[in-house]
Amino acid sequence: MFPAILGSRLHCPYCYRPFRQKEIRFRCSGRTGKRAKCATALDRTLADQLGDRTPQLPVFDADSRKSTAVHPPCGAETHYRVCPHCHSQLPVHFGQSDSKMIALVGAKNSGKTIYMTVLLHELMNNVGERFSAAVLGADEETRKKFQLDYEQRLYQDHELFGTTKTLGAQRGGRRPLVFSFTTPDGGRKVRRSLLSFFDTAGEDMVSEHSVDQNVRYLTSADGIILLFDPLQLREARIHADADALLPEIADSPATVLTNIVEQLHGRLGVKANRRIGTPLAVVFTKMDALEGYLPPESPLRRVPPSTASFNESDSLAVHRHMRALLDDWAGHNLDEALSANFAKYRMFGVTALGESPRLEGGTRQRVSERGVQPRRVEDPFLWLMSEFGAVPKSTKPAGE
Amino acid sequence: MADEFEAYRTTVLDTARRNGNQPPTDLFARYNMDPRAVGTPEEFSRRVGAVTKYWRALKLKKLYRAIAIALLAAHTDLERKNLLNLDAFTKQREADRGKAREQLDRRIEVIAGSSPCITLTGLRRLVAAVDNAFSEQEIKEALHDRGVSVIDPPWELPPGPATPAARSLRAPLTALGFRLSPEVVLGTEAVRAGFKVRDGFRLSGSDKTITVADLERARDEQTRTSQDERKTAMDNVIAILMNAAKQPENVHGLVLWEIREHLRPDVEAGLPVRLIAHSATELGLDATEALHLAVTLAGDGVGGRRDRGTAQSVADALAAGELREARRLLDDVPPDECKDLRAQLAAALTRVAELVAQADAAWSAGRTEDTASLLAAAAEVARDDETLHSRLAEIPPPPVGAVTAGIDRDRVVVRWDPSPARTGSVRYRVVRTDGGPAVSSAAGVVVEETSANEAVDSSVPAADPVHYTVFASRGGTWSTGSAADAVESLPAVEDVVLTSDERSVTASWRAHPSATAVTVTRTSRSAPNAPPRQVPVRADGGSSFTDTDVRGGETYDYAFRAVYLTRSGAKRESEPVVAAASPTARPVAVTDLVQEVVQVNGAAVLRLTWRPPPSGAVEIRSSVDRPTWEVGSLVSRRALTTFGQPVGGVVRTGADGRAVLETPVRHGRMTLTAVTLAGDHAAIGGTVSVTLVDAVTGVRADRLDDVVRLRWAWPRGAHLVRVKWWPDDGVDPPVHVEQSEVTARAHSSSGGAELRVGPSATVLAVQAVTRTRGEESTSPVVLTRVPGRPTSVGYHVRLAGLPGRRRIDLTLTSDRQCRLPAIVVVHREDGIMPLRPDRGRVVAKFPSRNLAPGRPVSLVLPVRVSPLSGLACFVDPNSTHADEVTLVPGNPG
Repeated sequence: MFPAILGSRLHCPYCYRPFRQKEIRFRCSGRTGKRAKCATALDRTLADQLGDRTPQLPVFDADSRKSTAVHPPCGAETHYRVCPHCHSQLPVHFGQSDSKMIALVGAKNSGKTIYMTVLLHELMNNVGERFSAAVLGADEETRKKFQLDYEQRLYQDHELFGTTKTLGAQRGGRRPLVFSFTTPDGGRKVRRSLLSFFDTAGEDMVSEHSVDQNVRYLTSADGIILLFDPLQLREARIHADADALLPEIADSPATVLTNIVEQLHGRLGVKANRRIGTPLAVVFTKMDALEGYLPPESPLRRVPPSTASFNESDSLAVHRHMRALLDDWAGHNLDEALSANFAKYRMFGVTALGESPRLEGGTRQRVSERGVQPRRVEDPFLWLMSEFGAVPKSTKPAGE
Repeated sequence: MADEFEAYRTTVLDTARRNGNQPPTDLFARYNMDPRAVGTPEEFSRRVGAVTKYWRALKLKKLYRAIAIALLAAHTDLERKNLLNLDAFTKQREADRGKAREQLDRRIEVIAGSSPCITLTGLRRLVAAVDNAFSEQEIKEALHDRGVSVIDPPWELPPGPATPAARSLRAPLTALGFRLSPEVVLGTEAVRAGFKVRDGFRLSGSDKTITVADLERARDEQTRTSQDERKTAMDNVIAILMNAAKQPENVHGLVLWEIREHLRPDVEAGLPVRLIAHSATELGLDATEALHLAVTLAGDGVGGRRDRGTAQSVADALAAGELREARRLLDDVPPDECKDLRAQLAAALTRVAELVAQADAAWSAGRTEDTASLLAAAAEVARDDETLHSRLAEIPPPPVGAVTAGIDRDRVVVRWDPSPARTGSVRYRVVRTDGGPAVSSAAGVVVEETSANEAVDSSVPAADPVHYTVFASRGGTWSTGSAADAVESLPAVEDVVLTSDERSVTASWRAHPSATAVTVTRTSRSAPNAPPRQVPVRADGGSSFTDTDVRGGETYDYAFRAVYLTRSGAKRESEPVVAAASPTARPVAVTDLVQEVVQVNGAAVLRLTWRPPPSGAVEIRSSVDRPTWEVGSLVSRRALTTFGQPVGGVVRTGADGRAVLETPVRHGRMTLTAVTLAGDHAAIGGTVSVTLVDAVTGVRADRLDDVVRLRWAWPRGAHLVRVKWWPDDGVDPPVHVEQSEVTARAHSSSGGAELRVGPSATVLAVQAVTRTRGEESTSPVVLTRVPGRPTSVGYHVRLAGLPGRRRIDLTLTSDRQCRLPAIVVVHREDGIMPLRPDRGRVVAKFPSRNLAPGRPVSLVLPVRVSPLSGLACFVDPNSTHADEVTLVPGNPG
């Protein structure tokens, strides 16, 4: 939680490339200055990197230690700072506030987009209220896109998202959603963290030859949320509730985990006898489909604590329980692989929709008529944030 | 339009222009369209139309004329071949991508053979070379596959040395036998062993750089040496370095400039980049950086940028046709420079002189239009020559063709055929005169000056013949006039309003101020052949009357004519305006309005019935509140408009003779009033109120400990849902009832509510509520029951006792008084918690016992096992009370 000092490495929350603060560039504000007003034109860098072909004002170099600069050709002052690599406009407090990249990955059909949408909705509403936290889109496009393409679609129109396109299939790359997470820090101070979510396609994670941005995304992440659909495990499928919609068997969790481990080992330069230091939250989604299978003493049958801290005891109880369930479904190979490769990992059981979607017209899936009923979706995020020191951690047993 | 096409012009058209005015091959790029945005043929055509219009506009600009002509010619070709459609564009793009791929492969082959890397500019040039068929990222990847990297971010080389004194370095360094200034401080061997300069100068091995302290040390050492040529040279180099080292980036800029100066002869000689890079590595520069620098320098061309600003300005001025500006700029440039531009200027001036000479000859021969054409051509070449524009303006264009003038109510619309002038922007002046056509542009009243072919005169004098004459001009002298036939305006009356009641008809209207009177005649529809009857108009300005000589049920047509007097005193009448009125009987209110909700084709429909009144037409109006008027009140139609909205639908007559209207039901509260309308009056009838709220559906309740998670589908139109709950103890009515209200927003986020109901069996009642202006409507209640939960017994295992006498304690804590059944303790050695008794080894059994709430009971396990995380307790499967408790594990300590 330290502001970036001049010269230290920063990561762009949009393209995930590293750069130093002194390399930050500026974009002209387009205001009327002392000389001729600047015109907009296609920014090739922005178009190539993130597929944004909207005409933009020119980018220029200036003293990046200052928050504003004057564009020499037009004489207009600007405070729009941009990434030197992709020309994305950087959030207002970028470089001064802590920036945490959280990678959200998982196999195809593991529910990443739904999970991300529900998690952010929860952060903006129930969890935000619990922690007195404000979660806001850090840029205009994030705000617009999240509201219209994600939140409204799921919560109001009750439509599920189609399969996310792979990066290879998207010309110009995909733009991550960037949010600022602000919590009180005693007195009149606040603590800000930038959160960057990149909606990966499941296929991007099963091929070792993932495209560049995907690997950058994973290796620049400060924490990883890895989603598994338990219904992809044959042993778990047979215990699914009768009304649960069963997915097609696709990529095995072990394949996804192996690829992630290889990418991280390769790019981070982790020695063969060392474990990866990036904290990993292993999240089993769609747990509502297995509700009938859970024993009465399961912590997933309890109401999670709702105090303004991350409850370590409750989380450990869930972790133990998920380990036991995983052992039941798939033996202990996956658990062994996790403990052998990651210095810090924890298992979670969540449901984003709370209920199996219903089929409409044979193939189209829609949210249940009862709407979205998430449970424990915030737990993995809060664990990571507690590991970063951004939210307090409580070790009191749950319920005390 | 300019803004819309600005990016297109700079990215597509300018590139095409620089490529020799070749239209882009990709038709989507050429027509500035996104394939996803032109899904329908109409949208496609609209887009094509907009772009071609823009090309036509560009044709008028000299800079873009050639590319615009090429684009329009290609467009005509596509049109003839019937290829202006989305399918054809898509096919061509696919075919072109294939060709572009081949082109790209060949180019990459050449690059890979000559250089291991290229600059970002080179990459963009490649993108342009394949007509933007591939993105930078795609080409970068293709280059990468062939082992060619892209220098990204680009190496921005400063145009000159970091400090002016750097130019003085070469002589002292040569005297000292050094090639680069850092050798003075760090030694030749260290520098030759390798250094990097891209992110600041530093030695490769030790990361050592040059600091002010190093230089001061070197200077101090120099003070101790005797004065000779070598000391002088050393002092000079150190002084220059110290001056540069005040800012760290200056040192690296200085060294970079020195390297460039060493490499300059190689670059200018056009040696291969690998050889240039080799020269750089001989100086000690890191091999990768040497390669990047060599490629960047080869791309920059080193030097030759002097006076580029002025030369560019002259070129721009020439391209814009600003010959005077170009001459002014060139006057400041030494005579031996910019020779090409001087030649271009001279050629343009010669062309202007020739055109002016031809114009003079045409003028002498009386060929005015030829003169204008030649002067316009000259003015186009020399756009900043005001004399040419002035001369052109002074040549009057030929007069306009046929002129017509027509009356449109109280105004006159004048239209004309445009002047046959071939050259220049022609403007027209329309002049109104009475008595006869205008003889000059200054005569009469100027109605309008316009470049269009139509003008409107809204101030026409009534009842007087007027003439309209049109003159043409190129900005200076006016042509002779062309006139229309005389027109005479006789405006009719306007805003005629008739109101009627049972016994009279009242009228009002507005006449033109020049009208001297208005005559009104009346005909009865029942006697259409009878002669019209004159209706007396009141004397108070003549703008209203009340006709009391009418009969109820009859319809009358009133004709209004405005009367004017001409200058000669003759009386003229306008065309008549006819309006009808029907004196009618008073409306009678509906007093027996009845409503019922029925199902029609599966949908709820509100059916309203009433007995038709003896006079007037019945309208049903819906409103939020009941009307403030009493039933039977008679109000004006105007007053009625402030009350509610008419309900749509067709009124039919039922079998019992009652009128029937069916209308879809809206959820919430509706108030409906029957109103009888006749003439200008409305009789307020009966009112009914209907409240409809759907009950909640899909209710599900799950217990999570002492909390019930209740979910349901949100009913249409509900403002909130009220949940009540009470113990399911058979007491009726329930005594202790708790309540919670859930809003639509909360439901949207969580699908329902979580209610702390306690451990007992509970009844929950769910009810939808709508609230309108303080009134509450509720749906039927939906009841659901949740069973109580078993006693919860938490257990916790921990290692206790002193080292050497360690034991495992099992602590049991119940939340209620209970008889705990016999339990078994199961262990797994891999540390994974067993989920069932058969998933591990039974290490202990404890008999049944009583537990008091909140009072822990500790038991000692008879064996030591490890790890503790592999321990779990279960009710003994042979126990007869297995359902009464839930054993909840705590985290092992």
